[in-house]
Amino acid sequence: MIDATDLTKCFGPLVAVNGLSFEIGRGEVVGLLGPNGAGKTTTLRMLTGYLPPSRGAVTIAGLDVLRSSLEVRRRIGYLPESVPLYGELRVGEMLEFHGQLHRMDRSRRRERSAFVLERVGLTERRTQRIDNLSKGLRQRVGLAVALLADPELLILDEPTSGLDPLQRMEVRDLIRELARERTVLVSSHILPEVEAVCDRVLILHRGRLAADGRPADLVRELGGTGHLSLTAELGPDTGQAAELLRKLPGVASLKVVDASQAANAGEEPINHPSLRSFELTGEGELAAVVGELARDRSWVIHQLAWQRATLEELFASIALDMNEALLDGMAPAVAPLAPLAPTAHTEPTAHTEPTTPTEPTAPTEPTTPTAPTTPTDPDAPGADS
Amino acid sequence: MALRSTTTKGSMGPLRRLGLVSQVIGTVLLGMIVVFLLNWLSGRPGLRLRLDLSADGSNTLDRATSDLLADLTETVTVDVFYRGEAPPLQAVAGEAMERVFRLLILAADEADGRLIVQHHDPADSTALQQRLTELKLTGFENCLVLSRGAGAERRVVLSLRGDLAEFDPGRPQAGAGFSPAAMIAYHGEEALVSGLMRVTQGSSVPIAFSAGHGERDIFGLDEPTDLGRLHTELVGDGFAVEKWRFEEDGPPRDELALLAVIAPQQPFSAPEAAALVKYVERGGRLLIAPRLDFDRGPGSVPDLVGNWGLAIDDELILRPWINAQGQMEDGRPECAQLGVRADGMSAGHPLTDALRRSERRVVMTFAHPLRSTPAQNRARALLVSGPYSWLDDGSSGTYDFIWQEANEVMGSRDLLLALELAAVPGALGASAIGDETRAGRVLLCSTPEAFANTWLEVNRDFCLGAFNWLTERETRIHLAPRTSVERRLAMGEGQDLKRLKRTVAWLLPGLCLITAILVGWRRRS
Amino acid sequence: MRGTLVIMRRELFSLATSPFAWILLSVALFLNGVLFTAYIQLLDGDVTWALRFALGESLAFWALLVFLPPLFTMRMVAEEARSGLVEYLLTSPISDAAVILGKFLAATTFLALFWCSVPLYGLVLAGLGASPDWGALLGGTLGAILTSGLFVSTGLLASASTSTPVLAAFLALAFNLTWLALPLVTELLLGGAVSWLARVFSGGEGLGGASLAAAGDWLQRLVGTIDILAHFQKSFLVGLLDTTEVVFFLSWTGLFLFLAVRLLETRRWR
Repeated sequence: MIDATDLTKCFGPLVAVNGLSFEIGRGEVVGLLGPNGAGKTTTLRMLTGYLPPSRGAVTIAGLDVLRSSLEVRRRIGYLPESVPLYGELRVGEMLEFHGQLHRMDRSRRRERSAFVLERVGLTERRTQRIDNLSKGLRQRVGLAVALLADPELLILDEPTSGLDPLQRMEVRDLIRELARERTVLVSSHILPEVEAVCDRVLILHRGRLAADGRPADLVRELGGTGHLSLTAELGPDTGQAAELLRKLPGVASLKVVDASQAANAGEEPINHPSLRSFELTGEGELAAVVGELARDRSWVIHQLAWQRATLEELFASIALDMNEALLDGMAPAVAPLAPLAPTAHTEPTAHTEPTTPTEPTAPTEPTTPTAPTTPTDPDAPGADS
Repeated sequence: MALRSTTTKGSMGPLRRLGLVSQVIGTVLLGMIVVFLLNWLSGRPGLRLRLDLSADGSNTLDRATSDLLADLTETVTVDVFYRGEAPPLQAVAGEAMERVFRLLILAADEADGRLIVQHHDPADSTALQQRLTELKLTGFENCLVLSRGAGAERRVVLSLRGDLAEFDPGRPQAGAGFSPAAMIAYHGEEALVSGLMRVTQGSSVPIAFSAGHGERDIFGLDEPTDLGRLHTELVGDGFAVEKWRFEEDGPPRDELALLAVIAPQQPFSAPEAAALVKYVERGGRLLIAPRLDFDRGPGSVPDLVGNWGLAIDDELILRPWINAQGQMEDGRPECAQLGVRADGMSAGHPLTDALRRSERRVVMTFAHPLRSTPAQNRARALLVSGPYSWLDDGSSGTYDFIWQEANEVMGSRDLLLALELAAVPGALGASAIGDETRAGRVLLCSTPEAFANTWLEVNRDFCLGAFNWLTERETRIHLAPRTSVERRLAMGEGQDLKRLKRTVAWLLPGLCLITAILVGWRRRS
Repeated sequence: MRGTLVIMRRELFSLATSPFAWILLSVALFLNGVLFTAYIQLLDGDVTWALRFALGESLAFWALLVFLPPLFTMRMVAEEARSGLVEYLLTSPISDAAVILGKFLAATTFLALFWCSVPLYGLVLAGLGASPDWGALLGGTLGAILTSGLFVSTGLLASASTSTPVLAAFLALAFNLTWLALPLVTELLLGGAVSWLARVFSGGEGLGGASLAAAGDWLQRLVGTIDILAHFQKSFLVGLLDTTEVVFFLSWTGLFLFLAVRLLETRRWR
């Protein structure tokens, strides 16, 4: 459906999108993810033909976006982030206008507008002026407009921004529903939203494509690992438990934790001679494997916590990684003391604090040469202005 | 590595911006060129289409005018001198001038650059004076000056009053006798066409002034009695002026369209007089005026005009002088200055009709009364003195300018006699004037001062008129008359005005306002 | 073409449903109506001249012609640029030209509605027994509409160049006034500056002075060719439909619309 090759957009000296290439097949629901300023909106604008790329090309449904611009525009339902609507018009009139722009005949306009209004739940607001609608309702009107011409491809730019949680959920449900029938490309900087809706994610950072794939695949491919903590009475296996666990398929790392350390916050410290705690990382269904082992060896499990790797985690790692790479290349003046090899600390950061992407600054591993990164870290998520 | 390339791209910013700016400027310039080209193209004669929507066709030139303008081969400049007439003609003159302006715009359009119209700001007196001098004009009047050539060698003056339009000042008194000033006639187009024809006529018309008998100097500009300014006017009007001396040139050439004999001191010799008479008999044109102290011997002016039954008396025509206090006086030389107005002009003659139309005054000073002998009473008096003029008997040797009631009778006297002789088939050189049969014409003027420098400014139209009538150069053309409909709202009771105001100033905007309120109310949510 | 009509219809709809537009119209109509009756009164009932004043000869006519279009056009592009509607329109399946052209037609149609009030005056006069010269009247109205179109196009260009409506109106107004006053300004400049320069640089009668004067002459002729007032008054005002004049107004309008479209396109990479 969408085929972008080497998409690049420069605004003067600023490179907003840099060498983006991807393909989106028919019927896919794809999330375009990235922090603010990552180039999401610019990418979408290039896809819709609003912005001509500085380099590269886009074809949509086999048509070049710039060359057969009108043909492409007819196939796209695009909802820009600002939800542009004529405030002085009524909801029905806005839809009528959009239908005319798309050269729909009168009966089809009437039929489709009734349908989409029903779909977004605005049927009884038909005669209300758009000016007087709330932000959430306007968003829905925008969706209705984008849907009106029954486009093959729906491109939604931050469809949930500025909405309260309830409205956000409504819109998310709506998108999920819409996704059943057509190709959808949604941009967002909010992770759970994309994870909830999309079967594929493109992660954009600083104008570059940082990752592309199914959320789960991504997690796996990019070294995203599950995290398991186990506290058990090991009985006779006390000595060899670590060895046994390490040999399990999929285990990437293992760490023995002091039982006293493991018994944390509020828990009564249990003094048992064979009680041990382990921290494991690895991929696959680690919890099941470990559980099976425990059953076989008759360990008494006090705690088995399994945490699957999340996109968010991945996202954070990418963000950090790219940030440093970028800073390395572009602005040596900001961090002159940070000539870090990008690969050197990917692992440790991901491993130490897997669930808190906002605080990747607490390196407990003495092996990690993290100290120089501190000056760059605070502006890591939003440094790209 | 790609990141490094971005930094270099950043440094190209100004250059790119320069490129963009030049692109924008290029687009604008290209667009403007296209527009100018389109405009130029649409003005080409073949592509241009005009549709006159006005009911009276006031935006369409007559076919004759269009043809003339299309055939112009040389550039003609039209200088517009206009600073408004004094009341009560102010308004009507403005209206007439507005029509003249429109006519000029149309004509300039039609002539496609060969008719250049220059408006002169009456407030800018230096520039105005300079242009007037260039055009060899003295004094200002509301007029158009058509000229051709770099030094305005040929030029024609079209006065607003007379040539372009005629006005009736009306009666200014308030009350019963009041009548507003009005434009009686407008013939701007005719005047323009005849002026153009005159100015563009290819060859000049040759005329001659006799010389060698103490006549007035036709080149003299300094002496008030000389004819230098008349000469300038004649050349500008398309005459080629030469001197005629019998001893050198022999009898007047056939090509001469006119021979003028202005105030000779010495009599003409017998062969000379014979040649002159023969010239007229064969269809030549003669303008002749005697000196104040003319002789009566053979070869003198009275003797010459006697050939055609015209006579000049010795007396001087005088009239009461009105002094600064408004009292009539006599006994002073000013009494010999006669101003002839419309009531002293013959009606139905082309020369005087033109003067009457333009409300011209002709000044004649020290004029002798003219007569035509009854037997050959074919002469026509074109100008006569006022009814209160008397003849001062100069038989005593001097004129005393005093009215002696006993023997001096008051009454009109003839000042200008025109005589048309019978046509002689194929008589004189057809080349000069253009028709095969020509009848001789004699115009006898009672005084040479009418043509002299002093009075030329006043008498210019008369002088040129006289020469043009004699040489049959009235380039009169006839254009289809225009019917102009008076469109006026009856203001008498003011009832209609009130009704108009109600609809136009209150009803219409009111309806709009109601719509505004309705719309605002209906679409409040 | 269809896109143009759709845009035009929507703009017209917005104008027709906006009280602001109607209030503006009624104020303009009121002014024009009062002035017209004043003309009639002052001219002692001369219908021809009163109508000529109302359509081209009076200062009020030109003031309305200059002031009204920017007020109608100022928001048309500027506001949409601000609200993001430009993005919406430019990603809709219509050409950029259709967007500008539609807006142009809408504003011009609305102004045409206003100028059609003058023939309505003629109708009222005819009802009162003083029938006007309909040909001249219609010619004048057509001219007023064409000139309005020209000023609408400059207004759209100004509106496309900024995202502040008030600034757009001001720009358009300044441009229109400058254009109208251009012949006058040139004349003043040529009358004063050029002759002065000629004197300074060549001591009066030298070659430089002559060529400078010629350049001045040429400039004056050039300015004369774009003199809106003259173009209007020598054709439409007197009821003459001249293709050259129509082309003059249409071609300049076209140029400004073209530039507005180009400017709108640059919005994409600005």
